Amino acid sequence: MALVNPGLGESLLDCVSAVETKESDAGDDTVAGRAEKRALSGHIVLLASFLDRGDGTNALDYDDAQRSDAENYYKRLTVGMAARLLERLEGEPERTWPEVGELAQILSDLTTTEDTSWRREIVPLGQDTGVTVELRQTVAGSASFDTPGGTVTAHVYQARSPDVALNGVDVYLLEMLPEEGDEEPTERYAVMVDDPWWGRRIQPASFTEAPLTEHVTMGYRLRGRILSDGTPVADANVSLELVLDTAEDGIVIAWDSLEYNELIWDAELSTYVEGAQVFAPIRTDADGRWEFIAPKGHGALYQRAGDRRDDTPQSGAGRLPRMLSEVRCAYLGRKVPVYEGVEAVLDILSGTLEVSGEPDAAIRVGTLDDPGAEYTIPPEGTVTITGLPQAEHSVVAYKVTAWGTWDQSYGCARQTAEVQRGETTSVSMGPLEHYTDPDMICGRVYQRPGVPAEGIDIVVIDTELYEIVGTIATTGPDGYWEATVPPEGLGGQPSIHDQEWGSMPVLGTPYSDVVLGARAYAAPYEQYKPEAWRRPLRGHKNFQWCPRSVVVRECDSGETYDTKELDYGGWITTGTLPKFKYVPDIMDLVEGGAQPHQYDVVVDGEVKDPSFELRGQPFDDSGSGAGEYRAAGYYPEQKLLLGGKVHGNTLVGDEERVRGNLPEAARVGLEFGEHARFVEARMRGGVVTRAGMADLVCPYCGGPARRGPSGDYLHGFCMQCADAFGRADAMDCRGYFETPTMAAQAEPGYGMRLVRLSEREGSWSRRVRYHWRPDLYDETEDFVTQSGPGQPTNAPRWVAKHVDEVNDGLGFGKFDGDQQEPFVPGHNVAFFEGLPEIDRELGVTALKLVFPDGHVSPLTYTVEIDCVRADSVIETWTVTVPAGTAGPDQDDEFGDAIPVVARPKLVAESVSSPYRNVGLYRAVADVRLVEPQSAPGCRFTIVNDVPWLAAADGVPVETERATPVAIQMARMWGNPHLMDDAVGQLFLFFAAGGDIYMRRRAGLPGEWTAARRITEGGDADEPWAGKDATGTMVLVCSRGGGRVSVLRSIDDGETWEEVE
Amino acid sequence: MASISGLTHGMAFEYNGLLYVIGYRAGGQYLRRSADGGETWLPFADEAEEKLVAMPSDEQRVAFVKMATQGRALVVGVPNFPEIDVYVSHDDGESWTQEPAS
Repeated sequence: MALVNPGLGESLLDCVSAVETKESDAGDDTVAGRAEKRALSGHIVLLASFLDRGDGTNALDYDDAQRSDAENYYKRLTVGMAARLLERLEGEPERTWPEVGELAQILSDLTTTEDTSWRREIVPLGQDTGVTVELRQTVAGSASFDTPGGTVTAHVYQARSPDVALNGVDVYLLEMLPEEGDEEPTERYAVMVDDPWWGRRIQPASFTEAPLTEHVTMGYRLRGRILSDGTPVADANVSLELVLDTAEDGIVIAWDSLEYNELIWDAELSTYVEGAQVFAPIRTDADGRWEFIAPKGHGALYQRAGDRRDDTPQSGAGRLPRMLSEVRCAYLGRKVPVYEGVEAVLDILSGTLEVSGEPDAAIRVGTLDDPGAEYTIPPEGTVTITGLPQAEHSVVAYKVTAWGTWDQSYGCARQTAEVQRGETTSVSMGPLEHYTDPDMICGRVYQRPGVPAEGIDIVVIDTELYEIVGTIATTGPDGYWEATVPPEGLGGQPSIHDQEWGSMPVLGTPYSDVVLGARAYAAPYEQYKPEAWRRPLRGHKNFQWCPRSVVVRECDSGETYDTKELDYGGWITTGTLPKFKYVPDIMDLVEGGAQPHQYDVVVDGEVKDPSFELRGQPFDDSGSGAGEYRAAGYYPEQKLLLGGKVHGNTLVGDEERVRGNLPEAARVGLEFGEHARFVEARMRGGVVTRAGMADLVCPYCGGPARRGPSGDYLHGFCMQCADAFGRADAMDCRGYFETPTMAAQAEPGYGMRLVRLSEREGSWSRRVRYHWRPDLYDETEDFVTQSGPGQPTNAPRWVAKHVDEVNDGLGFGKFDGDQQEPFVPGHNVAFFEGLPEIDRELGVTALKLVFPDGHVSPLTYTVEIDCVRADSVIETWTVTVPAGTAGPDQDDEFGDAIPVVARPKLVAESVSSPYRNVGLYRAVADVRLVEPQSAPGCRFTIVNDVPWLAAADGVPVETERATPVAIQMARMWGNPHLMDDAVGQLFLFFAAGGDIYMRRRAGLPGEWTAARRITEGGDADEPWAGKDATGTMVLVCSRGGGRVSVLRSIDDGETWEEVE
Repeated sequence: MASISGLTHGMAFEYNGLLYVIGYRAGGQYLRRSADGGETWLPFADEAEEKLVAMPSDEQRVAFVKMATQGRALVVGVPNFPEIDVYVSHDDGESWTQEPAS
């Protein structure tokens, strides 16, 4: 048995021990960094010692074939953890100790078949801590790990009973870390499933000895059924409305399984365009049933309060930063809550109303305040009406004479009935009241059908003298009134003359029935029901209302009536609209008669249905006119599209140059950043915050992107486009989000927050104050034949352009060192705003240098660039163009770009106009060469670095439009905090790149220490620190996911520990 | 309640009955002092009620401390991306010195 690497185990032990000591002495890493290094190095030392064979050699000195299975297992662990430790040591704070190079060499000698490309992670589980030691993807729903104690197996399911295996998902073997002073590995394990879509789940609740088998369920079933009056609706598009309870924004509404149009081939355009057929990712089968498996792992969109990362008490104690409090199935405007394990039945026209009353009495039954359809109570005394929508229905009973006219000697109190889906509601009208006393008149007055109007005076108006004779009665709580007619008569016309409810005659003797007002609403007929806006000319049939989009406005006074959502979809005014105006001048009233109010239906600030009057409710067709004074509701006989949307793209950071790796981001002009999965974009400022999640829908066709780890399509790419265009990468959906429809709000616009929740990749939450537009152009069909690296689908939408791609191509200016006058001025933002193809305000922009096709800078050049601020003040920046900087070529169609000012845009936006020293400008005044003396081959153009900062007051939403936004997410910066202590030390804390840093000085004459990072993860902000009488410092800072971290230091900030 | 027109991102610090308020205005950070909780402002030597502490500054709240030792110096940390600039006053805000970047 030959030694392959004699002394390697010993070397590793010595090297890592030395690193451990030096790390401890340095004490300048973050809390998390120190803890991870300590855990890794401690465990490596333990394993290296454990692998000592006692014969002067170590198992690590041999090759794989010469080690036992157990030794090979621990060798694999050692390699993985050493690789991670090395990665840590080479990162910030970078260690240049000789041991780092030594560790790299040992690792190189030791590694054979191990995969060191994935990051080992220290993972707490209850009171213990483990480390991810192996990674597998599930095949046929299972992943197994061989350990010295036996096999650890995870069977992973999307859902159980019936079981649906979850394939291709990452499963980690977690090994519990030993306690301080232990000399052997714990040989206790857990499994962790971790996926951006399905979330994270760890089982069992404590580390356990192998062999071990765990069944891990990452999702739950949502089931439902769509019926129409009891008949299954096949191929119905079902959408979901998610009610999220969030730490930062409270209740947030999100939509899923949105409708989209099919793609069909257009021979004229030679591309696929939208067809008429509408689909949704969730559709009913022939029996009207649908099913969806929602992800419930930690951090997943559908995670509920009880869906925990693990089953330890520690995990169950905290509040989740985002949890699903309710999910509703939506179909044709109807919604019904859906709960796991219960089929949610949505029978859309299944209400039944039984009306009992006096046989032969006529009744009218109307949905909401509709005049209603006429029925006759049959001899058995009950009429049954089926197929009604869920809503309030109004019923009125009356008598018709043998000649077909309204018999005014009979009266009856009106009723309302709440009809529920799938249920029978009964309402009893009672016998008709017969009034036979010739000296008495009476009647009932209603605010709206079925709602009595109390306290309304019945006055008598002398129609010859134009005066009110007197009040003969006042309505009671039930709206009823009666009066005795004196022998000489009333002396005029009984009337209502009310400042709120208007002026009108009371017709009907001896019994009258007056309805003062009614509501406006969307009719229950599909052709008249509104739809939340989706795309030009198209709406979401499943979502038919958005808060604040629809109001009804009285034409003269401008008074508005808000609306609310109806159970059957659409909207209804929350208040009752009076039908007639109050006419103070009696002569006007007598001469001109009752004067009806005129109303407008206003949708997103625009009058869509002008000057309507409330309808009446006749009891016969004799033209008696009494029906005019029984107000009935109004609905527009047209389909209204409500609201607009925000759709956009987001990347994280501003260091990585975007190239063909992110084609959709490149197409919309995001030029720097990296993709972060499933970023949630919340729009604040409406009645309820609304959110869209990135990576779910296609920016081209609106179809679904593949979400989970496995399937026949590329992760994050559109499935419908893949089928249509015959290529898996036809349309990139990564980073693209679409919000639910929101009411138009141009001023001040909606505030935005971007949120990502991922324990492995980091959680953060960041407000975006302003509106970042990605392009120079509005959405237009003109680009249907565009093609390019980011547009394999020929998507007919906006395409990002730089200012040198329009007009004369000068952009903001060109520089050519080979010319006599190197700088050729270009144009300012106002010029581009005035171009007919742009014709709108652009705002301000960051600038960058781009290079001609095929050009390579032969030398390194330094130039000064005079940039013109919003207030015309010039700021000068020095920019270096390194040798080798290249424009687009055959190998790289994007080319290099150099920002004029290296400042993240979301940091720059925190400075208001005129944006001093932050890199947002409207023009370039001059460019000068600094060095070398001459600049042969120095050529570049100065262009906008999209996105533009187009509005400083939030994201505007326009009706029937999608507001495009593009955001390069930056992490928090600034928010400094200073404190001094009793001995005159000063401590400065601040946020940079989303981490908290600290500097210290021993009094004013002293020097500041170098800034040292305390937290990591990029999610920290707003530090505050204090020091108590015992000398203990406490640092508090906010963290992503809506929580606060408390850290403690007993050595004046040398080392910190997180308070559990 | 006193309001200071045009000053944003305010930061207050009270020491021995003296109230210090620093806020952002047009690219800089400005200091005011009050002995009556902000009802009136104490004039500086040049009779001004407001003294420029730092320019330029990001549009953010500063860090501020009046030290309990070392002559009760005022120290301000001013965000000015990518640095936090430190300014010190040894005369209770009359004059300010920016410390060299380190």
